[in-house]
Amino acid sequence: MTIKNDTPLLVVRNLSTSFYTEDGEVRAVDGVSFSIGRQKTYALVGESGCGKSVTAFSILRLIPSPPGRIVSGQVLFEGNDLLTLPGRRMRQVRGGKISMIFQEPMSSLNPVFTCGDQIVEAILLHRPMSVRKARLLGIESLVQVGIPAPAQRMNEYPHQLSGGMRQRVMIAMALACRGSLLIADEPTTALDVTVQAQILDLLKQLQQDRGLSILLITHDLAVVAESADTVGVMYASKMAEQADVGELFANPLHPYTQGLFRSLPRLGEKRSRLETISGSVPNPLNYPTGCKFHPRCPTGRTLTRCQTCQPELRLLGPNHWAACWEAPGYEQAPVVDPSLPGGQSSTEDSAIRGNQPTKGVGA
Amino acid sequence: MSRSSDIILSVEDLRTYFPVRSKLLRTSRRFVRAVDGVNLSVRRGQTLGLVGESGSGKTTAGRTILGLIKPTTGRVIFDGNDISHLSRRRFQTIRRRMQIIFQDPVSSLNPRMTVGDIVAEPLAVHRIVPRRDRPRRVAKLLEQVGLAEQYANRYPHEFSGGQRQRIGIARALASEPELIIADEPVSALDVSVAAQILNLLKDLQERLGLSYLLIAHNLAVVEHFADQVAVMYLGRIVEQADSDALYARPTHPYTQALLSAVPKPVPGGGGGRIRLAGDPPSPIDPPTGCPFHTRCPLTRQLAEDAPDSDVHRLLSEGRTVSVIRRCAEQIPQLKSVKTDPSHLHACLLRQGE
Repeated sequence: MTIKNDTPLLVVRNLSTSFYTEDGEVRAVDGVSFSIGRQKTYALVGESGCGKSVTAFSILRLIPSPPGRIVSGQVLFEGNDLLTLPGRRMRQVRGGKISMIFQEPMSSLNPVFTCGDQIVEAILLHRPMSVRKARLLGIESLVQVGIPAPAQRMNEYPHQLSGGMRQRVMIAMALACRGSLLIADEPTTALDVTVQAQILDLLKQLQQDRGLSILLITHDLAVVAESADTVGVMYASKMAEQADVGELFANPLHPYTQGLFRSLPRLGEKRSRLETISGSVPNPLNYPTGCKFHPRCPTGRTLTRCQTCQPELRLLGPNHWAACWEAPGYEQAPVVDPSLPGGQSSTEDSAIRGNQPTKGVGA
Repeated sequence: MSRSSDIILSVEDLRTYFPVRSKLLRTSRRFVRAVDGVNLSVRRGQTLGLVGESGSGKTTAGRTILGLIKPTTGRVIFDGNDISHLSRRRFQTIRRRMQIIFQDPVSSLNPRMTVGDIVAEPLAVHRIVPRRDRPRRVAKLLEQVGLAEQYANRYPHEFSGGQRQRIGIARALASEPELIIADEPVSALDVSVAAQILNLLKDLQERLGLSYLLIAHNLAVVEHFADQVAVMYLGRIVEQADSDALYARPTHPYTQALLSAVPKPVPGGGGGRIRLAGDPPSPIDPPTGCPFHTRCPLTRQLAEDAPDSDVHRLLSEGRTVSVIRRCAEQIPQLKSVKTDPSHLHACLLRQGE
């Protein structure tokens, strides 16, 4: 597939999702905007509780309600706002055009049905055909994800497969339905390194062969470095920084991103101590005022502005957004919608588009 | 072997087999060979990293050393004494001197006990500190791991993952152990918190002269932390060396593949990766000969040019592949690398190198 098309496949704009608990409202995702180009991988990184998985679940409208609710925003996929789509059409998108794979494939596969039954079921839900044909298609997708003896595997139960094989079955299911976007939520976290390498290679290869776009959700910066085109770093429900992968690793602007890189033990680099980010992730019921990172920030801890005013994402370089008062050039930098493709600050065009109001959309 | 006083723990030909029971016959002829002839030693005040993928037997090895699982055969020598076949009561005195930190700080802390009681429990079990002095001691232990004294009255669920791991460490330190077995101490934690815990473990080692057996699957963590590293595959150690040597010059094909499979935090990395076919085989039916021969890229490569009489064919991933016959027949022993006597590897194809 080589459709030359610059419009992004998925645009998420100003997405906010809250959970209403007995203790009060928990804003899990707060005004997140980004877009995923065709055949590109966008990685959402962050530590547990930062809202990266809730973002993915919101895109597919899988937020359990109550207690959760998507408060505002738009999710544009192939020209439709998924957040306002009628339920029946949303079901066609979910698992059809957009598939999702999870960290623990065992819990997403039904243990009492064979892999074949589950693949066939998924295919028939989205593509009308005979069971026989669906089975053949299933075997074909198992071949594509590199499962040996696929016809035999179709008759096996999930527990008979290894973790890597189960993840391949999940990916095969997504392929068989001819999805164009794959949301992968920590797809390799539960796997061993050698198997993780196999799965990452597989995703990369399928992306080339099938023109798949991938939303990769992970906490592992090394996986991001190898697989992503663009990266969004989330902290405490907000996007802290977004940039192309090379730029982000070469020139991280947000102190949280910088801290994450410094605290990473790396192969071939021996240090007596790792640098750390002091403190821990704040409680979502009781976020700090101002910049949510300020109590842990080496510079912002003592600055009044950081303690009182929440910085928004601004465009600080070509395709590089950050939300930090202390980032170089932040005050003069334009506010450009981070979901706009390209986002080059130099072109007037994007600057004009960036000034269009994007707030007040959705519910 | 160096002087025994340098070595706090050594393990000789340790084997731990679990019977696989067949429900029909109620007999067990087959065994899971979780640990299958492991030798290793931990030097006093240093860290030995034990790495391997899931199912390699690294956790079982750690638990067997602690006496939580009885070894099938082999010896565990702690500070010069064989502890592998001690009675429960006599083991108690040893266990005071070696403690464990678990991977999951949620399930390893009793949710109904306060943090103070959790940390004080070893003091009571081993009758180390009289009851009235315990609160003061608990406060000191909590302070040592970077927690405030007043946390003693709270319950584990009130804490974050990193703080819970600190509680687990405080509990392990309570009995003033000399050796700590840390089983994946940071793999359940976020990056920024993992770094804090690793630094804490390092500080405690320097301050208290602790020795660690660090069991982990993350090679970067182990490199950062360990003085020596042993790599396990299917219950056996395939390579062992000083950390610097192992990471700079891995010689066993499995170690090489494992190191190259680690994603690098450098954009565009991942090239030149050695791909291993398939998954590790089951430890119930381990391959004959070298446990790694069914996936080994080196033996496949060498078999291409080898005479037919030296070649063995096997089915892998649904395809027939050729390997060197020796690899499928002989079990390789750990031997020194020519240039470095402390660097051991178990590979038939690289013996004498």
